[in-house]
Formats: sequence, structure tokens, C-alpha cells
Amino acid sequence: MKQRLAIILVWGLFILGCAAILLQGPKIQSDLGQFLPGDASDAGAGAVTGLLLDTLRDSPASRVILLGLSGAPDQQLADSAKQLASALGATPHFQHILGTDNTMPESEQALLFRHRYLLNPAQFDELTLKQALQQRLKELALGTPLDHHQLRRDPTAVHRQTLQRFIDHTGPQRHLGVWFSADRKHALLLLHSTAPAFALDPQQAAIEAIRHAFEKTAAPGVELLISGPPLFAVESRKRIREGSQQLTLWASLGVALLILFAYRSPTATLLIALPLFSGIVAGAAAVVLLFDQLHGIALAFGITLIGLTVDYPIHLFSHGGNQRAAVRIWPTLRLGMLTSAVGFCALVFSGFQGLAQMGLFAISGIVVAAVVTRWLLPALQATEYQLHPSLTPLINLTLGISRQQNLRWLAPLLLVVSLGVVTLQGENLWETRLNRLSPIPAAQLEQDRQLRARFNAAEPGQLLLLQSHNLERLLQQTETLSAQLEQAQVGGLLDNFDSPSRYLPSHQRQLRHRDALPDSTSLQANLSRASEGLSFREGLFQPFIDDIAAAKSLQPLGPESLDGTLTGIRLGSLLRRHGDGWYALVTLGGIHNPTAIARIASDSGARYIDIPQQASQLVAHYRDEALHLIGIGGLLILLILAVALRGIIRLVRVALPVFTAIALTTALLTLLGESLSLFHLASLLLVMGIGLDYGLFFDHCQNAGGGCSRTLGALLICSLTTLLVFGLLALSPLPVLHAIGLTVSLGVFSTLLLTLTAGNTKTRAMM
Amino acid sequence: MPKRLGPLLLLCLLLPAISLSAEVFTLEGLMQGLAATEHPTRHFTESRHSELLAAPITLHGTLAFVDGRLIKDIRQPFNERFSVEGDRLLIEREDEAEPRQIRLSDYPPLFTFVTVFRASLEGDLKTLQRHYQTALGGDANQWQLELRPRDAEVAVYLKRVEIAGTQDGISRFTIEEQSGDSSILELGEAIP
Repeated sequence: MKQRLAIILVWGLFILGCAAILLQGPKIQSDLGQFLPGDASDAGAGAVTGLLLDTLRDSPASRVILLGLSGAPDQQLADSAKQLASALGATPHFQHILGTDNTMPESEQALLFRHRYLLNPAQFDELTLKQALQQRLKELALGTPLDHHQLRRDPTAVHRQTLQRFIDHTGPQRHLGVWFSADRKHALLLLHSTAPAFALDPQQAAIEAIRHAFEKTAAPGVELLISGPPLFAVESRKRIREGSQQLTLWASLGVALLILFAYRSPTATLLIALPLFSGIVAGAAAVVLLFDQLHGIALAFGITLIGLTVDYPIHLFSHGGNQRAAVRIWPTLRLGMLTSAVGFCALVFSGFQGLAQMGLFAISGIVVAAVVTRWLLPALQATEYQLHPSLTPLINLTLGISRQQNLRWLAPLLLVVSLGVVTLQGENLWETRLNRLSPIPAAQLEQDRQLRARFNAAEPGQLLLLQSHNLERLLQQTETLSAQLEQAQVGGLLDNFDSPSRYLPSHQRQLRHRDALPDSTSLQANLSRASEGLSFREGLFQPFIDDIAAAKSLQPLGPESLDGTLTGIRLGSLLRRHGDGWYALVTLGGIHNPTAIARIASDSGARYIDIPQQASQLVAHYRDEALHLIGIGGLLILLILAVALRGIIRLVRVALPVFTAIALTTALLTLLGESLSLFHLASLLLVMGIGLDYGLFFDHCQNAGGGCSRTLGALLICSLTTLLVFGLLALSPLPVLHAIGLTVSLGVFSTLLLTLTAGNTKTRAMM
Repeated sequence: MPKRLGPLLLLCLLLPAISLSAEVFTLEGLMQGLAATEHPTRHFTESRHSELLAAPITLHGTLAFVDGRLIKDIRQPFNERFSVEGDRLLIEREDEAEPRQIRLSDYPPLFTFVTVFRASLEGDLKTLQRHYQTALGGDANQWQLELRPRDAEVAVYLKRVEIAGTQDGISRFTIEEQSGDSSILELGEAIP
């Protein structure tokens, strides 16, 4: 009695301790970046994939939100777009709003204007000056709106080159003072969010601000289309959250009813929930202790993984539910728990912080659940729980299967067939298209693609990559490459390209421009000869002469001086720091002669990159990594089982059905047309954990020489609850939840069947 | 009572006079007249005054308005031709082989500016008043129509336009910019 009280007290204190940790208010993370791999270069991925990941995680492009207004005449769309833009400008959510006013902020214009003679080549001979002055005079005569101060400082209009380069590569056409799609049916706005794409809470606030501002400002009939990485990140979270919340509710209810039906006892139902509850609390506390935060997705999927601990009390009840039963099943339970934990270790070492949290959560959860089943439940339990007699026919059916001798070859046969099917699939087995895993419906992804096309901002397909530890050298290389591409463009080898050199010349080039500037005396002389016969006022261009003199002492601009500017944003998506070096991207559009472009690339030391292909390779890399870890985990599990079961025959009896079930599930999935992803792999880990429990308990009862009907009853309830939960998941329209649900349902069902057939051979051998 | 009747009486006495003068010369009447006027191709002289210039620059050429198509053909001191038809502005330059084509609706300020010429020659009061606040001065023989842009985007550089004319039609456009610069376009003789 005293001992029972002590156990209950210890448990109570433990739960309180965990609660105390959790109540300190750990940050529930929602940053999806944590489900992207950690440091790619550490993980052994190639440099290119590393850069790709870096870009994926937080490049300026990942903060872009695209808006399209449609459904009304163009004038109304233009007015709505202007009002929406000014309403959004009043919120703190956006760094830049492009599409309505004349885009470049004054401070940035001033900076670029001041450095115009460093950023652009210019000539100051008499003829060039004369032609420029004549041109200005003509513009003036025609009433062209000119900034007088600017004209006096920049009569050769060098600054226009800077602006033109920027405008040429910015956005779609203007119509009614607003960006419009080519068909004039969509007014377009482009926003740069202040927060990074994967910081979901601020992104959600930004998107709500857009919807709110739109409702307040839009003319009737105007429709709003929002797209871009931040929206997708927020939507994914919402969909997964809503989807899993509903499912969790229905699944919990279903499992509770099933258990209530099986045992006809509310107390038993509550007791069965106790290890799971303790496991969740402990798992969450462990993650908070180690990571100082808890990821929402790790929590949700972690709970799914330790759902298997519902099986533990069911096994306990099937053996009588008391202290003696606990002692009897403990070695088996412990072994099952250990093998599952080893399996989940694959998650901990996966290199994704989010998955690592999930793994730690699951491991601590199942350990605590097993301990609670072993000590707390017997201490709490007063009576024995029996399965309701109405389940007897089902149990007899399983018993019947386990006695079918001619089924014993089923497992080895299926293993061979399944492995054959899987091998035949080869590389087709794997899902390499990243967006197939997206919870965003295909229709919406298509909408995004169309909206991007209207912006002339299709996802970059092909690009050239240059890398260097030295920024200056990199910029010089990029300049050489750009010059060659310009020639290629003239020669019709490609339609267009964009390069960092367009926005920021190397120091060398800026200094060359600077050193070519004339001294004041000769400039003055050229200028007065050039303005002879032109009616410009005497001394009008003194500010020009002063500016040239001032430019001689200017220092070249570097990327840091453009931080936060529109030019800086454009530059930032093409020129990025990575580790202790830099890389430059040159995006290519409309390649007509790939061989020639590849030659230009290799001549200038650039790498020719196909983005979709690289993304697939990236996924493949992490899949291989995962398979590697799972392989090691599997071997470890076999080793542990071999030691614990003390015999190769028992090992085969326990492990063969599980590994066959995994092979069979994989084969069935491919036959159903599913391509395997990391989520399928994680689910197969769960199947392994559950399956080994089945095998171990079945082996335990057969080894004890019993009739096994009580164990089979427990296995039946275990698998029914699992099938219920994961069957529901399989019905989810969200690809990720569907993948997990289908894999585990198929896996658990086949494990149960195969375990029963495998038991037969051994029973005979034992007898 | 008599005190109150006083102004009313005065008003009654004045009313015929007001309506009489209104019949003689109103903006509506002026525009109707312009709409009915034939627009032969005419010579023009445009002088540009600017703080940047020691002396004004003068342009010579012809201005035509035929079938809703406005053509400003500059002949001196360089050749350049602007034609506006509907939403299209065509610019032909002596140093450019291909004419440049612009959609006016893509550049709202430009559209507003072109409206000055097109709507006044056409006598389209509605369009004119949509883009500008109008004030009419003078009489039918010597009138001035002042236009001030309603759109803030246009008002940034365009201060006011004055269209002056006689019974025969428009004789002069004066364009004043916010920068202090101005252009005066005088219409001369018709080309037979």
C-alpha cells in the first residue's frame, strides 16, 4: 500500500515538474525553416545545394508577396491598386511596395545620383558634351518635364543609365500609372515583407493586413489574388493545423469509444490514456529543456508517433493488469520500447532541427509511457479488465490464422516479391518534386505560376553561378561573364539575363570610371566650346563641374551601402554571402543555344545550374541521408533483438514479419501510384516500432507456451486503434497527412497478419 | 416686411439682365462654337521660356486637327512630328528610323496634357472639366479660358494653361509650369 502511494506521489511530482518547465512559457515555434536541413555544408551536400538551401531559407525573393487585382474595368483596378498600396504603406509590414508610384525612393535616388560617375562610364570630350547639350535643349523645347537642378548637375544624363538599367529589369508594363499584366486584366502590386518568409506569425499578420486593407479600399467587384512564398508558408501551417486538429479530435473520440466498447469500463479507458498523456507531457518538457523551444509541427507529429504507447496498457490488461502482470510483460515491453527508441534516433540525427525535436519528443515520450505502464498502472488498478465477450469471434479468427500451417511461407515469399517490386521501381520510387509535398492545392500552385508569369517573374530555371572568397574578384569575374553574355544576347543565343554587375560594378571598375573623370579646367574648356551657339544660360552648368570634382574623392560603393534599398534587394537576390565566401548568380532567360551558353560559362569559371534539377538532387540527398540513418537504426535494432531474444530463430520470428511488412507496404504504396518522401520514411519507422511490439508480445506468449488468445486479443485492440487513427489520416486531403496515414495503416495491417502467420512455424518448432 | 422684400425685388429686376448676358457668352456656348468650327491646318510659333535659357527657344511648324486626329508637326529648328489618335501617341523623330508609339493611358499625366489641345479644339467641355478646373474671362471677341489641373500628379509640374481666342476660334495656348518655365504657342494663318 505504502509502495503504491509512493509511486503515485513520484508520478505526480514528475508531471508537476514537467508542467513547471512547460508553464515557463517556452516559445512555440512556427518557423518552417527548422524543417529545412541545418547546415548543408556540414551535412555533406554539395556547395551548389548548400547555396540553394541558403537561398530557399531567406533570400529577398522569399519575402516577395505578389498581388493581382482583377474582375473590373482597368480604371477601377488602377484606382483600387493605388488605394491598396497607400493603405499598405501605412502599415509596418512592408519594406517596399512596388507597382504604383514611381518606385525608387528619394533617398536611394540621391545615393545613386551622387555616385553616378562611379557607377556608369561617361565621356566628357567636346563632341559628346555638345550632342548631350543639344539633346537637352530639344527636350526643353518640347516641354519634356525635366528636373532643373538635376539637369544642371547632370547635363549628359548619366544618371538615367542607372535608372534605365533598373527599370528594364523591374516588373511588368505600366498602364494608368499602375503595373498591369499584358492583357490589362490584372493590376499588379509587388510587396517585400519586413519579416523573413518563414517567420510565420509576422507573415500571417502581413497577409491579414493585406486582406483587411483590400476590404476597406477595393471598388465593388474587384477581386484580390495573393501569392508568394510567405503566403504559402502561412497557408501550409493553417491547413496542416486545421487538418490535424480535426483529425486528432475524431481519432481521439474514435479510439476512446473503441476501448470503451472493448473493455466496457470508463476506468480502463482513462487508465489506457494515462501513459500516453504522461508521455506527451514528458516529451514536450524534454524538448523544451534541450532546445529551449518547441516547434508546433514537432509537437503534432511527435504525438502521432507516441500514439503507439496506447498499446502498452492494453498488453498489461491482457495479462491481468496487476503487479504480477507488469513484472511478467516488462522484459517484452522494455525491448519493444528500446527498439522503437532506436528507430526514432534516425530522426534525432537527421540534420533537420524540427525532425530532431520530433525524435527527442518521441523517444522521451515512449520511455516515460513504458515506465508509467510498468509501475503506475498496477499501483492504481484495483480490478482486472477483460475484453468484452463480443470480441471473441474476432480473436478466434486471428487464432485461426495463427494456426494455419500453410501460411508460414507467406512472409518470406512476400518479402522477395515486395523487394522485387521495389527494386523494379528504381529511382521512380522517390518523390523528387518538392512542391508535390506542399499542402497547398495544385490549383493554387497553378494560380501562383500564372500570377508570376504576369509579373514576368517566372521562377528562375537556369542560371550561372560564380563563387569566390573575395567579393571584389567575384564582381570582376561577373563583369567579364556579363560582357560575354551581352554579346551572346546580341548574337541571339539567349533572350535576356540579369547579373549583379548591372546593379553594382566592381571597385576596380568604379575606380576606373572615377580615374577617367576630367579635371575642372579641361572640363570647363570643353563645356564652353560645346555650348557655343546654344542658348543655355552662362554658368548654368557650374554644379556639373563641381559634381565631377567632388566625384573624384568619392569611395566606391559596396553591397553594404545598398542595404535596404530597392537596388540592394535586387542585388541581394543575385549576390549573396555564403559561409566565409560570396557567390553571384546570373539568371538566364530564353536560351536558344545551350551549348554556346555552357561554353561561355565554363570559359569564365561559372557553373551552369538547372534549378529544378538541383532541387530534386537536394531532396534526393536528404532522402539518402535518411535511408542511411534508418539502415543503421535497423541493424542496431536487429542486434538488440538478437542479444535479447538469445537465438536466431526467435529473432527471425519477431523481425521477419516486420521487415516483410515494411517491404510490402513500400511495394503497395508504389503500386498505388504513391511516390515516397521523407514523411513515408518516418511513417515506416513508426510501423517498425509498432510491428516489433506485436512480434515481441506474440513471441513472448508463444515462448511461454500459452494459448495466446489473450495476447491476440490485445494485439487486435492495438491494431484496431492504430488502424482507426491512421485510416482517418489517410483520408486527409493534405499530402503529408495522407502519406503518413496510408503508410502506417498498410504497414500495421500487414505486420499484424504476417506476425500471425510467422507465429505458426515457431509454435510447431517449440512443441 | 418691406426690408425683406427689397433684395428679392432687386433680384427680380436683375435676373433678366443676368440671363441676357449669359446667353451672350458662356463656357457652354464657347465650347459649342468651337465644336462647330472648322479646323484648318495652321502655322504655329511656339516660344519656350526657361530660367535655364539666356533667350527663349522658338519652334515653328503646323498644327492640324483632322477627324479627331491631332498632328503637331515641328519644322524648325528640328523636325519632329507628334500625332495623337484615340489612345495612341506616335512620335516621329528625324534621328530615329522607327516611329515611337505610346499608349496615352499608360501615362496619365501625358493624357491629361494632351486633353488641353484635343478637348478644346473638339469643344468637349465634359472631358476638359473632368481634368481641369475652368475659369472663363473676357467676351466673345476676346476670351481667355484658364485651366488648372485637378490631378495632383499633373499639378506637380503643370501650374496652369490659358487658352485665348476670338470669335474665329483659338489663337493661343499659354502653358505655365511649376518650375517657372512657360510655353506660348501662337496659332497663325491657315494653310490653304
